[in-house]
Amino acid sequence: MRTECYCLNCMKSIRDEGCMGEMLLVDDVLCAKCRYELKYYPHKIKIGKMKVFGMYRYCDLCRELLIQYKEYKDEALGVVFLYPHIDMLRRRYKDYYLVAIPSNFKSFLERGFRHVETLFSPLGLPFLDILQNSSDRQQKNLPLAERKNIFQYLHLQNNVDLTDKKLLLVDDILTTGSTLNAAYSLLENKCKKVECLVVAYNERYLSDFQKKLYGLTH
Amino acid sequence: MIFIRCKRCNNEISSFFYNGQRGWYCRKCVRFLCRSLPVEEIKEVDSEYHLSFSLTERQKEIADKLDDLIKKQESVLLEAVCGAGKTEIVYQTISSALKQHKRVGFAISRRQVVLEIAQRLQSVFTSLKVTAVCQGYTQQLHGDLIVCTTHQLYRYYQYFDLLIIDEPDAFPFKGNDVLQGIAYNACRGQFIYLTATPDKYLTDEVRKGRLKYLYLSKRPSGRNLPVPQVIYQNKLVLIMCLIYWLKRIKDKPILVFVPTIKWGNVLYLLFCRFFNCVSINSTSADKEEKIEGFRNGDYHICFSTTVLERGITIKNVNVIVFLANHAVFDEASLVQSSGRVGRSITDPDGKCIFLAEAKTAEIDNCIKRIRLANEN
Repeated sequence: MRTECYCLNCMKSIRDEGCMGEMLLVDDVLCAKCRYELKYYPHKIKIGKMKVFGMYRYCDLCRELLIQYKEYKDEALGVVFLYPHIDMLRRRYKDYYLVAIPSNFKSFLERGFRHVETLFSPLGLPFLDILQNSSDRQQKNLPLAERKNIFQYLHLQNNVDLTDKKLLLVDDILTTGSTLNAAYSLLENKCKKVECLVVAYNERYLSDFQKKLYGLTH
Repeated sequence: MIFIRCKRCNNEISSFFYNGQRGWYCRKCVRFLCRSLPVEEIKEVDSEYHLSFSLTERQKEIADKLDDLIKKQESVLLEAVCGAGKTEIVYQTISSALKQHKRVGFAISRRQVVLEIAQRLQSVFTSLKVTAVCQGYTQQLHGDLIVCTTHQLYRYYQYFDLLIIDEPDAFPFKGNDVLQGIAYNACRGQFIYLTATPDKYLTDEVRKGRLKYLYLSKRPSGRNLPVPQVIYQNKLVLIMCLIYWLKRIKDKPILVFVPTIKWGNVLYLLFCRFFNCVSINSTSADKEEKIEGFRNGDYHICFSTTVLERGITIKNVNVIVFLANHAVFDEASLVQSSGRVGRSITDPDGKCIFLAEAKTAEIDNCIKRIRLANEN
């Protein structure tokens, strides 16, 4: 047992919050309060032919954590999202190959590490570095209409043999799905199977009933 | 056991460090992105200042003492009651430090007060370039005299020779290791702490001899501080007391401090039909316009949470603290809120009323402290 455990988000002792069971049997990197605030609502989203498995609702804390991880380069937070569900994910995606959506070269240089790869490295699956992004602008800065142009900038390396391989496309945030869609259409016919997994999904993908259930509509 | 210490925030707990792909870094201050500021040559500046009024004898004495201590390379804690003119006392020290080609910074924990103080300093030091640095004003970083929030001090690593920290006992600076470490690292010379209610850390430092201590107990008007009148009743009667006082004080603005945002909204909804009132809290969108309106006399009553308890001067205001026994109001914040009363020299009268459900140590200590200041 580690003697000093601090919550990675609020920096307090990990046993400060939560009920008796959580205090005794704690196995997490966040304290119970932060874990509760980070809304884990697994959801299957269908965009065209593509099926995406989203893990977290893109709530306030989720946004905060992802911003601190990506923009402020706090690599320690990479483990936060997958940690409690790692066994389930490993079982589900047993013999898949990971394909991460690449960020453009400029922001990679600025950041100094590949954030999507680091986020999903606890899965222990082999990575395939087959996609390239030649865009010079970040997707989040573009208006919705222009986001579809990402088709022109994503390239697939030709000399890789993908037949009989099951691929898992991973990304951090699903907003419009245009990047993921572009990558999906590139890979779709060249391999056995493609599945998609994102950490956070936008709340507009929820159905009206779910929104009402989670208290999102007033 | 490795010994490791963050250069920016003086953090020494090894659990808060992380060894990533880019090397070790401190997670406590990771949000303060490191951009080292190019150090400019110190220019010859005309640091004369012009006051539209003259300091009283007590103030003058303290100002001279402060100037001497700073010249002897000592850090100082200046305790003065609310409205005693702490900022005016420091002018002389700023001026003489600038004459010696030192870099001077003025750090305040709240953004609102930064803009106000920067304007005041600019109007006094007319020939200097006073730069305000806070959220929304970060384009200009250089200047002869820098006024900034304590959060922005991370931009100035080992930059200042004299750093004046106003209200070190206020949220968010109080009890925040990261901000204190950053402030400590921003200055390579002396500190001046200005406060009306020094906390335990500062008094301990004084006792250990690391800080010199100066005390000013009188306001420039020479009058005593208003001692708060405390009314102990249950909630319903307290609201009726509130109505009584709001009806009675007709021609002067009234500032009502409430413990929580919810109470502020409730009281606003209760009274908005019958009184000309406004409610201010940290979440309200047009805070500045509301405060400006209250200052100009557009509103009679202002329901405010503790956001307005410090650094705000409103002419002949009366203060009522509603539910003064609530845990939000500690001794410092009660002293500060009662210190809003009677700040101008022309009209030093005003009422301060605490409405409380139960007796607490905080209320007693607050009254004790004010009585003590009045006796000296």
